[in-house]
Amino acid sequence: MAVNDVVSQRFSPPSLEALQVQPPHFGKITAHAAPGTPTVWWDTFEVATLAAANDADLHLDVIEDAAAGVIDTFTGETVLRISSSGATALDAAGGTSREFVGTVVAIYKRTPLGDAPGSGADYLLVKSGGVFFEDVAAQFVVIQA
Amino acid sequence: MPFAVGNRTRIKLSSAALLAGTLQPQPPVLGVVTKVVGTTISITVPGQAAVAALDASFLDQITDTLAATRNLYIDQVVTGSIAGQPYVDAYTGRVVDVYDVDGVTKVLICSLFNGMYFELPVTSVTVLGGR
Repeated sequence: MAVNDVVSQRFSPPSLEALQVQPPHFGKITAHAAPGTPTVWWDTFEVATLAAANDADLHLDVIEDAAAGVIDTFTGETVLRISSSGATALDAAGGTSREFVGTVVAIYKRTPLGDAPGSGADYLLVKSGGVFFEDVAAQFVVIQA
Repeated sequence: MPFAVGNRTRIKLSSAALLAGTLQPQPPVLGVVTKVVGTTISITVPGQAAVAALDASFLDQITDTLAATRNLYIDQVVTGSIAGQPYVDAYTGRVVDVYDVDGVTKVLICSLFNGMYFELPVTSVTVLGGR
């Protein structure tokens, strides 16, 4: 972690099934005097001085640029999340969840704090039926107009 | 451009590792600069009693755009596009604000389809006529 990093609450295993914050929030590291004790200014201007034994225990992801190809593919699109473990066993694609059709809000990479920069996965933030949800970009396909 | 009292501002959601991405807080939260001492910026935010001062490097500076540009877009219905290709319908919305962010003119639209806010460069929107 470095001062000026953009962060968000961790959204990767083992907390992948955690309840999605509505709406999700992002913050900026403005001070980091000692491991586990950064100051974060959230996009709401709320200030949080965090406390943990070390940075990894903060359960934050560093938000980084997604791959250019992912940005090009999904910017400004409506997408459908394809569940690779869908309940529809006869669907060759593994089943789709039509409830998860949504509009792409943001595209970014989440790298768990403490991992090598740029080593995380690309995610889409999508809004569908009034609900925000995130998943790795590979779980989505663009619905053609 | 140095910050000035009266500028609007928000937390700068970019970094050395986040240049191409555009995060879209819903809804966006903007503060107003009330005091400038060197690079230390004091801000008030609607609904918050007090906000501590913050270094300017952590903030986006939002300033008025040219009146002619604002008049061209404000309250118009626009649709977003990229490389000449229109975005999906969700990016069609009413322009609720027009401003410069660190020198780049942008429109803030409220989607007519799902109520979300999207900030787009004016170069990436087309005004829809007859509305």
